[in-house]
Amino acid sequence: MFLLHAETRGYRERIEQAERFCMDVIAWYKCIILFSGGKDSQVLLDMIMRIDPDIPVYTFDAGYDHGSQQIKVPKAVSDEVNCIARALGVRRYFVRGGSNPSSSRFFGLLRQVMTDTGADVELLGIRAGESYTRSARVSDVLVQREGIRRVCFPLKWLTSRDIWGYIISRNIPYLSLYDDYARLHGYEAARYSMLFSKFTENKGGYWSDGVLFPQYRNERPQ
Amino acid sequence: MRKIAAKLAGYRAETDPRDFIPFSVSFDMVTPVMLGHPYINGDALIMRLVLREILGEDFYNLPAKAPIEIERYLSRIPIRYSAFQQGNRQIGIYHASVSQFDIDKFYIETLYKRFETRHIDQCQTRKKKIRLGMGFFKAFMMKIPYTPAKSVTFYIDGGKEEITGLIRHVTHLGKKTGYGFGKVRGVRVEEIEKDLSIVKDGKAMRPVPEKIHAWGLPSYTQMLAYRPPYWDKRNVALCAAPGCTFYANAGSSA
Repeated sequence: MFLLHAETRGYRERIEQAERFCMDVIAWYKCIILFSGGKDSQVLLDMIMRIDPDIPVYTFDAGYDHGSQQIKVPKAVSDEVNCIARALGVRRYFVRGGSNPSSSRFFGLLRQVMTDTGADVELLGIRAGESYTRSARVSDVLVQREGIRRVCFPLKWLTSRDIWGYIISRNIPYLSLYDDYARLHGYEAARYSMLFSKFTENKGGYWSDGVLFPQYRNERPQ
Repeated sequence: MRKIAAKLAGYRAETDPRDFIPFSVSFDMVTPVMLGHPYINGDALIMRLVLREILGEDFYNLPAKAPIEIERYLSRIPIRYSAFQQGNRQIGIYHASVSQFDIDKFYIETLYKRFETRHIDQCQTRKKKIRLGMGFFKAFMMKIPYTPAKSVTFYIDGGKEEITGLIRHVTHLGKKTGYGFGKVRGVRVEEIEKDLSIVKDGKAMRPVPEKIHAWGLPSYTQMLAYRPPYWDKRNVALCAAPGCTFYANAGSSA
């Protein structure tokens, strides 16, 4: 199904537009890719690495949350994320975090890496089709200001079907968690975020994780 | 609190452990069972029923902020208990399997929770604005897994009469029973020849701590709770996961 979608004209146009966005932003700014390991950031990473593999890549391993005594990113998953990044040809890869995830920790460490690498624009794989709030967030100019941040969303007009079409047609490795989530939700609705997260509790992610990944519920830091 | 502790401390299972027999409990379901875990633990279900029996109305008014360490007060429930000495520590498990569903499929159902304006007169607040995006009245749209099982079976080795008396109170199984999920049509209790509560056809039927080699060596292990209360992280250990295969080991010690 995704292979058939990858042959449509609309798909090709949207992918070409996203690739053009990537080339434009790289030509004008010093960029850093925020890579979560999810399917969107994988596509973004692949597009950028085809243009310039020396762009720095930042990933935050949420790891173990000592407050809730709950693993957020199991070791097996973070290893897989790192393997995927390496397989996509990343040369400057910055893995930070490991425990006690929080937004201030995420952005504090990101700021350090950006200072070290001299990057000034963050590339994110956020799409308008994900939610109304994200649609409103990405609908501005290509490189926009968010407080002190300068962010860019090259994939903003892609659909989830485009993302899967890109991954399947180009045979890009993706997280095995998607296959597990797809058993319940289907591939288009499968989303990867921190496991057993309170952020996804109101969407039921907590319960899906309990049924799909009982082996991770009680994992502890090594 | 003292009243609850005294009630719990005074409980003794009616059935003598020498009279325990293996049997199966099969629930026939009317509606699908909604779960937040791949299975329901049989001993946890019985423990809950025992508590409800002992505490009566107090069961529904337990302190939520400071959970009672029930295992400190409660003596053995009417299920066989096997204890194994591991160094200076004793590890024990109840002979009750996890739920065996007649179907292996899970699906997703979306549930909605939202503030209803028709109940606004019951709202004890001076605020003139109800926030639906956050806080106490936050609206939820949850996708929760369910299994459309027609029957749910537990294998137990214990006091059949006493447990039969307890399970007659079970009207629903699983989560979101108020929404109509997990409604029980009927229950069958059947004696069986062999205890299948821990191993059946070479497969683990419940979490068994990996250090217990009485039933063989497990094909794979997971960090799981192995005794009630299952939410308590202190009861978590490396266990043979339900469904894994036990391989016979030469130097097993029961």
